[in-house]
Amino acid sequence: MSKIWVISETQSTLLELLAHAKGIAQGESIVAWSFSAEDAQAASQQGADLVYHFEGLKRPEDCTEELIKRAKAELPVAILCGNSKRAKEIAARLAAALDVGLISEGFNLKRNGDNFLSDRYIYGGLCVTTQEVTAKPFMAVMAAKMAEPLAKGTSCPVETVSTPESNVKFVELRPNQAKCDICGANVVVCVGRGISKEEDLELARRLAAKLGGEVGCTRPVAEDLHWMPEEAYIGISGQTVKPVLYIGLGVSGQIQHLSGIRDSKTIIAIDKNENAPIIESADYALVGDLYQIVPALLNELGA
Amino acid sequence: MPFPAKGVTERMKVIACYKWVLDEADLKVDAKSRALLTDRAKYKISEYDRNAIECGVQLVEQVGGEVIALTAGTSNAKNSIKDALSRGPAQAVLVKDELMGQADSAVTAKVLAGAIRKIGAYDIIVCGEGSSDEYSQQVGIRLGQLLEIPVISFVNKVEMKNNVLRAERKLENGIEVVEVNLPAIITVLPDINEARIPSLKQILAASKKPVQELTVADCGLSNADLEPKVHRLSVLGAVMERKQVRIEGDVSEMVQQVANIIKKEVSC
Amino acid sequence: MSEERFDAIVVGAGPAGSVAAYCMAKAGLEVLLIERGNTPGAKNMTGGRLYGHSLHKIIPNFWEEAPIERKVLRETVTFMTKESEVSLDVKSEKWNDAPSFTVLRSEFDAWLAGKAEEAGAMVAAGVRVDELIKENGKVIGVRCDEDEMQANVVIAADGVNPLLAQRAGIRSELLPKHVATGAKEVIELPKQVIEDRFNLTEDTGAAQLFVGECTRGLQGGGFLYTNKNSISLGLVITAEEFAHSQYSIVDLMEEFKMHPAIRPLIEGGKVVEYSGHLVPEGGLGMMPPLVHDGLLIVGDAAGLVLNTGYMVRGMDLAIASGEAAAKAVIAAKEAEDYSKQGLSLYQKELDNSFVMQDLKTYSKAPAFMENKRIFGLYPSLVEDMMVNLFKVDGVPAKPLLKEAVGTIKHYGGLMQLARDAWKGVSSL
Repeated sequence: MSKIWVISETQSTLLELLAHAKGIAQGESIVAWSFSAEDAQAASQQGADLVYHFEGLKRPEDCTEELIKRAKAELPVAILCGNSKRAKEIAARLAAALDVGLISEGFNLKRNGDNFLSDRYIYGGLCVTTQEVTAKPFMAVMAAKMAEPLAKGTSCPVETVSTPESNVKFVELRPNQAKCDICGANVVVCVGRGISKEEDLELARRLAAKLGGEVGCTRPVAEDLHWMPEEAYIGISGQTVKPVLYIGLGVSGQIQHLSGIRDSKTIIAIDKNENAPIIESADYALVGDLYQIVPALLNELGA
Repeated sequence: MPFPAKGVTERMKVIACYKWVLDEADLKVDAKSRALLTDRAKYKISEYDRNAIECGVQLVEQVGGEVIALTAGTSNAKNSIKDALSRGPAQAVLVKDELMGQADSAVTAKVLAGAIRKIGAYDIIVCGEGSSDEYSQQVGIRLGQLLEIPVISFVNKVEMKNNVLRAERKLENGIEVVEVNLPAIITVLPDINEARIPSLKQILAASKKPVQELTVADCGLSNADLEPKVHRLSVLGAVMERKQVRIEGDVSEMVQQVANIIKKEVSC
Repeated sequence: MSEERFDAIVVGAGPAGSVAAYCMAKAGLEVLLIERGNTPGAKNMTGGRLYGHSLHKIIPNFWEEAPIERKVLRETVTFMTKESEVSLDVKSEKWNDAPSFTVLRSEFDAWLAGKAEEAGAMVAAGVRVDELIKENGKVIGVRCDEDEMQANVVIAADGVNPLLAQRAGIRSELLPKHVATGAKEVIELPKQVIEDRFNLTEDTGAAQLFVGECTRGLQGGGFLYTNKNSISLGLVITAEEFAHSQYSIVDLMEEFKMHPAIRPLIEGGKVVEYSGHLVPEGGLGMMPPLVHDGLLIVGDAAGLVLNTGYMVRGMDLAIASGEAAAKAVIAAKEAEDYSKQGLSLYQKELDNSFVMQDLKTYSKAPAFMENKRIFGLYPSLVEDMMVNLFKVDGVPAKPLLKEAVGTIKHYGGLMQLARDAWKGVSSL
């Protein structure tokens, strides 16, 4: 029986991949490759027909040679991978070994019989390209947060897999001290270069606190001015956020930043320059002095 | 696997791969048709690759050796060589074929692998984590798999320790430290270093350094190998469909309106 | 110091520098052309017009391979007031034997520097020359950050803000009255729209200069040049005046674009570039000594710009000066004398050419141009006369002459007008 594989070492993306796989399956069984017992359990209940669980790995990437061996033997119809750096490495190595294409950060996945189509962004987010793949297996690293995990159902079988040693020696993992606050936030208040002093970030913090959200920033605020940590910057090389509400304060809206907020439900922009790119890319735009508007807004909201 | 495994040549040979890309800052999109307009666009060495070249050059400055700059492209890529050589490599290799104009990551990796096999023995290959135009983040990793050497991706710190390559990878949840025997390939993040700005002397010296041009046949490949696996059907300007409502009035009027909008979206 | 030594180092790959490098390289000299911008032209700005004669002398029919935009076959001079424009509009095929072209500098300069490279010059871009190196009062090379490079002669083609010559004590700081502030926007419009709006046949172009309201009565003017698929629109305002006024050039540009004379021409267009630059205005009055031991000054750095109000020329003079400098260096090499004396052919060549002769001819232009009446009073005078000429409103008409004299009296009188007219004619 033909198969569709999904591979991810993080649970949230693994479950999203299962939903993507369900969307394109035409009779194939869906096989999930997981890296922890809980992930295996979750996958077995939310869309997989069979779950493999790698055991005893020092690092997820060490599974790659084993995956390659099995993929060559089974030739799945499609292989969908998560978009973490680890999964991207696994995917690229797998694609090279199988001599197939690999679509990176794909969305709008469609299937036309044996052909698969996917969109992705290029040129720093300026353009979207639609790509078609005819070779088998179809491989893609799927963009995150583009599918809802499937509802829980009955569990499917879970098998453990062991792997040969890898040619990379794991020394240690130093976990992040900082965490990414904006990553799952419902409301994001983002500051840009329109904020003139570091102390003024307080305005953003107060607004975020009032709305139950988090504060993010554009790249220059983190990388050049160092007013906020790098986990806080939103953009093509930083975080991608998908809040219900995004409010930009003094954010001009360069394309690299807009890429990171594209999927926000509602975008409100406050900036004094009416030619700023963000004005066209917002749902609601206020052209004016944020130093007058924001305090008044805080007042109005009772903050 | 025993560490350290084999001795490294005293003079290290590093191959730094780079891509000659359209400068995305010059690109425009036609507002009506959404077509991509490239006519006034200039080319450049992709930013991440400048970091890769710099990484290679810093490594050989530490332990001795030389860097070979390697690129695969159309005849346009010839214009990149002076720039690449002014950044420190001792020589450049260009694989030139017009079919590279539609190459996808699979093809590029194959061509580079073929060129590297032709170049001969090497210790480290350095690539950028992705290219500034497509950012598929694959070529370096594929290259390692094709050459059957250890791959360390998304590296932001690297050093040679005894005969072993030690690298730090910046991952989502922390820094992973790994070690590999040589030869190996690393793909590097832009924060690994600041690519040097070539000085006058370095620019002048660049024109004297050796350049080798290869064909894909020299690399053991045929035209069939250059057939892309991923076909680009269309390229259009990305649109963000937004309401584009302008909130007008004096400060208090604007604030009234936007507060109402906010209250509809979130409870506060 | 390095062992490497060039016959000549040219600082700045604008038209003057690239042409100097080209001519010298073609004669077999070892030339290094250093450019501050990442590509030649990146840091250069012009209103946008090149009179082709001087480059045609060096590279015949250059327009067949160079990236020029349009050949200008329509010239317009416009007096602007708040509500009116009065223009003298000329279209002619007769300029075909002495063509002028609209150009976009980033592409044109890159091409010209490329020609120098093809001819054998070494081009180093993205490098800033920090200072000239002198030994016993003679210039013997340049220093770029930590690198020093020697040459027999240095040609300073570093543009309107000649910091190199200043730092070397060879010239004094620029006076505000010697430069104007220029601002320009490049506005994209489809090729066909441009040809329709300006009544042009394919690939021909229009050049228009504006006087009056566009600079709010300050000394200066506006310009408009048609490129292939964009319009170069801008203002030039003499800096000294500007410093004392209450307007900013951004505001003036906005007003200019909104004026009924301009707005319909750029309707629907998209601003794709905004730039500001200094423009030398002073003519002979601001020219420093151009020949020194081991050093020649060319182009804008030498103040070789002609601004007569109805015509602004910089590039063609720059190109001719580059050629003249190259000739001087070639002669100096032969005689092995790179002193001021040995390089004196440069001044001779300039003096004998249209460069110095035109500058002398128009030498009174800067002083004449300072007459405020040109920018404020006279455009209104012309407006009144022309409006009345064409107005039919039921009021019994006065004889033409009486009408005209009456208007002139209102604007300062016949004597003043006659004096100004005489001054104008004699300085132009």
